[in-house]
Amino acid sequence: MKIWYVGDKSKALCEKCRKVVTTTFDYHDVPFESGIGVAKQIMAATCDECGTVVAIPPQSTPAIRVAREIASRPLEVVMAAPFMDTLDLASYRIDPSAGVFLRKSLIAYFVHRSVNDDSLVERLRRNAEVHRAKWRSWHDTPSKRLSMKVTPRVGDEFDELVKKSALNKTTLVKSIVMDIGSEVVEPEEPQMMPELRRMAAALAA
Amino acid sequence: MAFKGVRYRVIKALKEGTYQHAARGGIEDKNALMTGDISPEQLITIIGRCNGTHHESSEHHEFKGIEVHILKRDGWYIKFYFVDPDTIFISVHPSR
Repeated sequence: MKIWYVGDKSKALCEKCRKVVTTTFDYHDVPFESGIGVAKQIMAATCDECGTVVAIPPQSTPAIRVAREIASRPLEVVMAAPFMDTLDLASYRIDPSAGVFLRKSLIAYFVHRSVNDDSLVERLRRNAEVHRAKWRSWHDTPSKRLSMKVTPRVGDEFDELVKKSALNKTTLVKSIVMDIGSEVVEPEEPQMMPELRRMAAALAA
Repeated sequence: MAFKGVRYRVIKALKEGTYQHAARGGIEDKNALMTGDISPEQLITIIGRCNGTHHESSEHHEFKGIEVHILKRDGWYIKFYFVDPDTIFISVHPSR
């Protein structure tokens, strides 16, 4: 891996100067565009003409991860055990060796898929109604806590889905688990399995 | 630049670490390679699976003379350009 040092020169597009500019590397406090915070003193390349940070080298990724981790958001819900069993069974079916590691990615995948599809949002909204009797029958089972830390992007999409579906956080997760059940656990040959397996393979690499 | 040359050059940059991430004064949270949500090795695997049908290129919409490359494969969207001798990634994220 190449490492850039203070004073090294390179080139990049500067959107402010609207051209390819020469750049100089140094340590800077760089804010996240999503507004969640600042990565402090990371190596970055600034435009030699206007001083704007125009490029960030790979050596800054670990520090960016740490800064983002601090800024990442908790997502916690308490659900009846069968919800968690469904989620874990789906993970197991995708990749038996993945353990609970796939839980978060599966939820994120279904959130991401649903957020821009009105018919899927509508289905999530209806799940609570359709499965009411089943959910009620699970009331006496033990409660389990699903606790994850999600990136701001996943957190934002989840919030958007809460808004679009008009469901509360817990009911939304339960509805998503219903979708996961009907699409990943119940079918003999789930249509989306090849894609989910590729996702799992990429995550496990 | 023809697809094979693009693929060779971007994979070489990922292997050697001679790449950077585009910024506009801040950290683009959605760039999964910059945030470490995907590793260079994982990206190399995805790009290695690309053929010409997964590649598009066009002149940058704001900067004449800069050719921007887009690869779409395995649910990923990868956008970058070359400035000699480096490769600059504009976007690396799961496609919607």
